[in-house]
Amino acid sequence: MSIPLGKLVVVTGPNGAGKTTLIETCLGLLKPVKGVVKLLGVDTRSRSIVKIRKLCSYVPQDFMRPPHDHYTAYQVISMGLASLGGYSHGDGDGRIAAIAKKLGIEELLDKPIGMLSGGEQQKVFIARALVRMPKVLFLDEPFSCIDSGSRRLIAETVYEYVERGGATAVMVSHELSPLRGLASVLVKMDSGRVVEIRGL
Amino acid sequence: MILQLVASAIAGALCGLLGFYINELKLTTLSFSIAHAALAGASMSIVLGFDTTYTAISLAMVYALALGLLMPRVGRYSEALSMTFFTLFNALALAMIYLGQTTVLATARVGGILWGHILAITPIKLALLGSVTMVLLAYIAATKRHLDAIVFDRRIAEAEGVNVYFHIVLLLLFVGLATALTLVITGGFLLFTLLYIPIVASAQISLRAYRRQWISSLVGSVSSAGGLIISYCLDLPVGASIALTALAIMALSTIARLVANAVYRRKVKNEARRKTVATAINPRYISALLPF
Repeated sequence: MSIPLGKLVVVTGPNGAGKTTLIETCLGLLKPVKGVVKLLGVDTRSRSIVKIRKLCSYVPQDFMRPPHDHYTAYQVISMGLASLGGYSHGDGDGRIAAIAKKLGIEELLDKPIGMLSGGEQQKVFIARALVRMPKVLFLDEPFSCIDSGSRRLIAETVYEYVERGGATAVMVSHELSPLRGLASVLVKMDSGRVVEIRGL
Repeated sequence: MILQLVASAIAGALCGLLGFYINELKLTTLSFSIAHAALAGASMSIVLGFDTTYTAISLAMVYALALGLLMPRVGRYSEALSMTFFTLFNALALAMIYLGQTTVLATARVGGILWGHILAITPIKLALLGSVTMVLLAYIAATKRHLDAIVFDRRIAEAEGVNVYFHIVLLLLFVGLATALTLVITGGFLLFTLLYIPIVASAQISLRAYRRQWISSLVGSVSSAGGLIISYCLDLPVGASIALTALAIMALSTIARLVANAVYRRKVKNEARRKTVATAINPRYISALLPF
């Protein structure tokens, strides 16, 4: 399977199908047992994968922070810029403010992440992923805690980013309704295998 | 005495600061075994006839580097592996101490290694301690965003291209240096006192990571310098005095946290009671209850 740039790819399938494993293998966080996985043309087992990851963002499925976590939402989003380097505080501030406004979390920026609700935390992590302006965006169940009203907003924000920036987003989701008319590729998985690809 | 006081304050600050990262990155077991590599190195110096601190630094650094490089390969067995090495270093230390106790002079040196001997601090070692602390501070300042990202969530940081293993190996090397340099102050038995107690005390004082980092450093510094003064005044082993001072600070901070929590709970309860009374006597509330 090969995914070209500029596509919004949705991966779906039952629990245990291997969707999260697929994302983590693509990022090189897990090593493939057999075969080769290349991310932006680089073998994920090679050492240079660390440099390639700087062009990627990842929103994991298990993102929830405990109540005693006192990093503010702003700090969490700005951590996304850590590996990029070369960004002055001013640039980062502007980008964070813009993405926070887009996702409707600008009033949460000064609050500790642990004190936010699950949905608010998930939006903060999506903002962190987008503020990096990645070439490849991996989102693992990005709607799991989000209310139905905000799901479409997030799907549209990701779609807009993919369309405008020529990036690729790989989104694992059971919820397909917010992505109606936006996803360009649908990948169905079952028992660790890709069983169907639509739209490539 | 001034030299020793400055050295112990710096050593305490250095270990306290490193303790924050050890705790946040769950490197407690690994750093524990590195501290014992320093102890084994110091014990080997008795038999080999080398300088205690430099031999301890050599073994601790080599082991920290090896451990850091092995970590990605052994995965979830890294803690078990480090405890295996801990056993090896303990055995080595005991064997070397046994073999080295041949003269009265050697016996005094063994005592210094086991429970600390502050007079072993020389101006060169103080300069080394100061340099290591300055390098650590410069490293933290230069890579603060990377370290914050790793402390917050190691997996997301790795996925975003932060070289997590590079930073962990570097921190383990700092642990090796810090424990080897602190060994002459606290002694081998209580070597990890300044790595672990200050961070526990700081967690009672503040929940914010940024504050805890510096409070831990301050607690380490105060414990170390205070312990040294107590040891000097009461003629007690310096390592034990430092450990007891650090534990006293930890106990005080825990009591302060318990009192603060109780005061806060009472305040919240009183406010809730006041609101209930105010609602009960509110004419609008009463009229809402009346049928006419």
